[in-house]
Amino acid sequence: MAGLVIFSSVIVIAMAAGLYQKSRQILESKPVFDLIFSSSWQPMKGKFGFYPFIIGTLWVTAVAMFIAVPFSLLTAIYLSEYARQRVREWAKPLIDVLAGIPSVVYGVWGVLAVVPLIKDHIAPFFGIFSSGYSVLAGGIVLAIMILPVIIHVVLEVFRSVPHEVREASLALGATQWQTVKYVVVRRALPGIVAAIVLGVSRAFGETMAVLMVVGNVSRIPFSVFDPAYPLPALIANNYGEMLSIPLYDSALMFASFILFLIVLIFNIISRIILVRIEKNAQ
Amino acid sequence: MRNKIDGRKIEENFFIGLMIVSTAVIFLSLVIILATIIIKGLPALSLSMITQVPKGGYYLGKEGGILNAIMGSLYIGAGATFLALAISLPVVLYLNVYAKKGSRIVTLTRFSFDVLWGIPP
Repeated sequence: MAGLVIFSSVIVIAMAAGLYQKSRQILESKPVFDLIFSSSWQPMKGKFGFYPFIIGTLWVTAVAMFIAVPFSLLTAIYLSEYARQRVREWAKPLIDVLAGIPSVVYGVWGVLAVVPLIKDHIAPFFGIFSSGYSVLAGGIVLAIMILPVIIHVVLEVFRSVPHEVREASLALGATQWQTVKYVVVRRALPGIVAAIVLGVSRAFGETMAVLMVVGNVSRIPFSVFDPAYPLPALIANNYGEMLSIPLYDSALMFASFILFLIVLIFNIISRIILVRIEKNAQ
Repeated sequence: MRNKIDGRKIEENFFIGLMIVSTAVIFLSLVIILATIIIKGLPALSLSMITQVPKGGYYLGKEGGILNAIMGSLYIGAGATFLALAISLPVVLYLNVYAKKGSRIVTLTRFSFDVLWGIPP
């Protein structure tokens, strides 16, 4: 049993080592700086610049967080501080349903509903032509996908704020909103940060739903109505094809390695904060 | 004094309004997702769709159904669940019963599971 425990906790390290091993080939033949900051992606000519993909990932993630953070924070505050017991009991399972929808279904929904909405209504409203397959579409779909993650963690963090603290504030004559603003949110701030970081790492790694709505054009996007090509989509679309091109396989592995490292770091940061909160609450 | 209290009330009501709107938007998006999928998917749902394999060659849209895909998903799901249970049950047992609470191996394992959970699918 102890063996199984060790085996299962070593999986993460094994994955990182495997990805690094595979991407060593390209790291040896090209400087890392060139790989990350060059924007020419021509595998046939041996040019592997990940810059457009990295920027695409950042754009989609930023748009998603921009939408998701205010909505999820307000909803979490409402559910934890204001909503009646009945509402809360209904809301939590529904949020779980949202979290349980497979990402392909989100992608299909994005293609059916969000892409036409942007093409026919939102982009013309700003006087811009857009095919609909854009950073914004990816951001909207992604935002809905990470909402449950953030809400869930923030609710948990709010629950760890002791009731006495709230009561003390109310007893001093503060209104409920003042209590929320100055006491609960302030006390829960590290946890909120952790929840957002966790949301970002989810958004970074999400592949399928984003791939289906974001357009997949390997150019640097200049507005939210431009198509983008995030890293996970690059890996998912190309791995297994054209692997006879020299270094191509290794380049994709390097992309996964970057992704893995970023997600790993974000996860570690948020978990450290959350574990610390859990310890303080006990 | 009166003014200040009124200001607080207005601010509180404004934010409660925002909260209710954002909660409503989230649940509305769930409803819209489910509605889109059901409206677009229901007409295609028939008995032959879920009981037959495709007959129109490789591409769908002719006769037959998607039984092969459904069975494939079930097989993979069952196999993965079995494997995962076979590994995770002993691990849970060890972590909760045999290992000392709060010991290094427990923290380390839980941490690595949390990280594993966040790796892109």
